[in-house]
Amino acid sequence: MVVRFKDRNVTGELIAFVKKGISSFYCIADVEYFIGEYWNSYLKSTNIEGGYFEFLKRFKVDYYSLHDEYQTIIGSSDDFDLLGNIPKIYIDFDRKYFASYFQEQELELRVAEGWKGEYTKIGNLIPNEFKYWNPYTSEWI
Amino acid sequence: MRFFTTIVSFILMTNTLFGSDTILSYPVKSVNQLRKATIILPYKTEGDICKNKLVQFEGNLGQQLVDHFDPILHNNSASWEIDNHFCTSVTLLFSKVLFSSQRDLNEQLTFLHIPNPKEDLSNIELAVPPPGDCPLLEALAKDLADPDIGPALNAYLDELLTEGSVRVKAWKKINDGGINDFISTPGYIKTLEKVAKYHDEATAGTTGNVKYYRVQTQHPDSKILKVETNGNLTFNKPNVSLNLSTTTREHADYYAAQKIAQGNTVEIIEFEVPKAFDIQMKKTAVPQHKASQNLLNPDGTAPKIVDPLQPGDPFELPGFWNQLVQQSYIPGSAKIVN
Repeated sequence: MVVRFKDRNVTGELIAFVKKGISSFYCIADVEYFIGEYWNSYLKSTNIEGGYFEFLKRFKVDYYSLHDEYQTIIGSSDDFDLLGNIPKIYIDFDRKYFASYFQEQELELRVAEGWKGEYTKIGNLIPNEFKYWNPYTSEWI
Repeated sequence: MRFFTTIVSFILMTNTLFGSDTILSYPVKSVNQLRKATIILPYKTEGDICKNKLVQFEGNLGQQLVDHFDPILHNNSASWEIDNHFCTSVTLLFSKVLFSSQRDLNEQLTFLHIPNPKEDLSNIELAVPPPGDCPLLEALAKDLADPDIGPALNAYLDELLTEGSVRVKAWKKINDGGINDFISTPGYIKTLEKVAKYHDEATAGTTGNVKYYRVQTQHPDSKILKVETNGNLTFNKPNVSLNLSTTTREHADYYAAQKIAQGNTVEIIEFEVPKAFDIQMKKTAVPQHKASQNLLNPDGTAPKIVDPLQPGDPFELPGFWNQLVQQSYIPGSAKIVN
């Protein structure tokens, strides 16, 4: 997937960091793909934890693409570009934990059954080596 | 094949069916009752007038009903005459709706031949209805037979006839989207109710303005709109999706309270759009679930009906509609209302 951060639809397509076991990746997808109540409907099996992690790989974006693209906007004064292109979603399929810092809809309240949802900043949940926005910093991350 | 059954005690008169806002003159307790209901149409009008009114009544769905209804109307073995009235059965009219299994078809999709409605019902003669193909009704039958949602959908359709076409159109719109598994998601029935409500709003008139609301937090990328001192709006990012609460403050107040409880500061922006715009927006909108795959959203620009279980009427408007809002809102109408 080719990533373009400048003037991206940051409120319609969300950047998420997802992890399961020792695997993790970034993906960019429409808001509705992060509504846990709907995850079952994308799967043939009832194993959400395994199935939806695999499903999201179709929206996978590699770290280096994100890193390189973010460097092109890092001098921008446009908060929508700078902050909108920081991950808004964090999903841990092992812990059944879903975190959202999306301002527009309460995705954290619409998690899959048995999951915990939380509204919180995402940046600190992501390992330092995967923070593609470095060295940019902000109180909103 | 002969069965004994009872007839639910209500009769639909044609002038009631087509002549007023109320489709049925007697309350329908459940769709199950409709199976056994009897419909009486004026014998002398025969098919054409009824057909035209059905088409007018339901639009595309009306045509489907006409296609289904016509063979029945002109088939002597599937109709009867009582006091110069042509009689057929709602069982037959909605047979594809109400029965899905072959067993049901064999045992229940039979026509009630009633020589005289006052006669002893133990002598009712039944005949198998003519076969027909009505995909739309079959789709509704499938939904009604779904063990998870069927009962709730039945309840929703309780007033299928009493409230007329609006609710059927709402179901049809959702069905036309082709997202078959939406039925098993939370909010399906609420979405049906909302679509029916939007249809009601549209038919109530196109003049005047409608108030829209947007809740913005202190987060910089929430500041998509800015209210100027002259009541105009500045659209900071017309290409991004714009989440709005429509028609009343109900959703905006709810969402603002939620955001405040999370530690945010919020502003509620109110502005007006022409009602014609509001009608078009809602007419174009599709459920958020699998919106990108919805057949009514081929280019991905349709507004999305979001958070159906929350109070009020929130929408997510893609950039295309964000720009239409910018072009269509009433200048000078914007203000911060919290």
